[in-house]
Amino acid sequence: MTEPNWNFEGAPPFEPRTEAGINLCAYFDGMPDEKLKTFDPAMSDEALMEWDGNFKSDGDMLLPCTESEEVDVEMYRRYIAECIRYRDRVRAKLMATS
Amino acid sequence: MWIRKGERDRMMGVDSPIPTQVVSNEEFLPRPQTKKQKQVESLIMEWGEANAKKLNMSRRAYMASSMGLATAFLASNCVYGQDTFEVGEDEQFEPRDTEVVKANGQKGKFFIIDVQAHYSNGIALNFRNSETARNMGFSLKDDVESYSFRTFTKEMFLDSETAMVVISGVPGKEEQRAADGRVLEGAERTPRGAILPSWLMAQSRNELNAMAGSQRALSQGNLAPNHYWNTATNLIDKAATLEQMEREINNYKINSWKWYCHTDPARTGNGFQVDDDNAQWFLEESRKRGLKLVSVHKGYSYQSRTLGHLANPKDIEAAALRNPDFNFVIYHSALKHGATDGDNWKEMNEYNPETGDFLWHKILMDIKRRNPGINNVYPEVGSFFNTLAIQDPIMCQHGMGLNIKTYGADHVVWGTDCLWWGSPQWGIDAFKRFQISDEMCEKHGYEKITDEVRAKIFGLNAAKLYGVDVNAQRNALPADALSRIKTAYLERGGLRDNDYHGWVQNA
Repeated sequence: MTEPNWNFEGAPPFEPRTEAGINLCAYFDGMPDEKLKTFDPAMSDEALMEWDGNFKSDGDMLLPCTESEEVDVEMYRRYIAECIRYRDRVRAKLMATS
Repeated sequence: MWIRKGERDRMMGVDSPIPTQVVSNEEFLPRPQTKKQKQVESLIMEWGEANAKKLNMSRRAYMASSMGLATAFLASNCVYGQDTFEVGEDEQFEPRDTEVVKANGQKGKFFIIDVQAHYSNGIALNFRNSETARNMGFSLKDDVESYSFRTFTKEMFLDSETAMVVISGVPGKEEQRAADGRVLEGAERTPRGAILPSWLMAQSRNELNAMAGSQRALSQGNLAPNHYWNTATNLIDKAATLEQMEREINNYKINSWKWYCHTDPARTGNGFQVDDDNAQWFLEESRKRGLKLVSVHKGYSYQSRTLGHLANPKDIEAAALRNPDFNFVIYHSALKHGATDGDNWKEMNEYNPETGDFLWHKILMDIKRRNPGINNVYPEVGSFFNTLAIQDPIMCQHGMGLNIKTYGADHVVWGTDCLWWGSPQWGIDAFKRFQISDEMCEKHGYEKITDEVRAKIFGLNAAKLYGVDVNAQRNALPADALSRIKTAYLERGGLRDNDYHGWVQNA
């Protein structure tokens, strides 16, 4: 299945947009829908880091070129929850055109 | 999970004088170790252990020596089938460490200025606990900041031939005033913490120079055209920008600006371009104040549609043409090295083995090809030369060959991006030995790398940019405190740690 051209990055910001937030949106735009659907918000922080695979041993995310601030698990949770809501809103429409 | 390369090596029982895979400086996702890199690693360990036994040395001491480095370069040549590194078999058994002791700016062939040196709060390092460090009587505090800075000093100066460093910025703006209007100072200006704010770079530079009793460090300033923003008008806050500019030039006495166009410290929702109106206004104001050197990150970026493209070096052309009295140092030589590429990274980076071009280095090269009269653009090689030397020595020959052929040996500037890569000595040794094959010179018009070329790239070019009097420095540095500390350190058995602080996958 072709992955739709997600654009969570271009969706209206749900909180004041920061550089890290912009890059995190872009990161989720590159995450396959099948993977995102397996996200369980109840998982522990450790399980979340394992599930994602792009966290560092210091506990922050390795989000390239997010130079001004770190992305921690708490920020990750906020953004992925909103990304799931975004995809639920646009999935049907994007799937029809992809 | 990403872990530091040094941590990975310790877990795997690896002690290698050169990194055996590319480490991430947090500007790209680390690629897995390739089969060839694994082969190099295996040969280094096999040969290094045998050589150490033969010389009745510990593996640790051997791998920290020039002989260990020679072994590593022989292993690379063996696996890649090229003599990218000029090294003789006999060098595995002939120490050259005394040269390193003497070098450090004065007696070696090369005066080395590293224009891209960083230290980072929070790096877990071992210097504080080493026997050598304790015996040297250093007053080591437990706080992470001084801990990391001391490691920076050790790895840059005691463990390498680097004579001078430019402490290079990472993005981040300073708060200017407290709620009551009081002007903030020092750490108050970065209340939420920051890796290397301008005030800290200046302070560290002053500490280093005071400790050395000579000029060992220069520092950059992070201020950029999108740091202070009027959210009501959605325009640059010129008053705040000028206030900070005055501070960074006059109080911090910075030596260059350091710009990251693809970052957004002021939360404007966007970055900027070196040739846009705000940047031009900034340059004109900086010109009035006498600072005309801009170091700008280009290349490594993220896939964000909003910000990622701003790290493309395309904007340098107009800015360089419009401001011929400014010099623009292009960090990473604009190597893109995408965030999402995997095994097919060469294809994804549009590497053309026939021309040697690849993203976005080609765009930087094309600027000079289109404008041969441009004389104020300087490709810098931090996390470019060392990355390519480890990733693909042939691509490294193309990258350096093109830089020199296109911009001239007098316009290529040495930087390393260390401490991400640990002590820069392995990169220095690699470039001392680096050569472009006769076949590639003939086919692509590259020049052979001579000591004259190396001398320019290692330091003479940066010295011109930063106004450093190399002859005076060569006379001053041997007598300074840092040279004396280095001598004592080596006499007491100080060893370089083959500890790479950048990130790799925990396989």
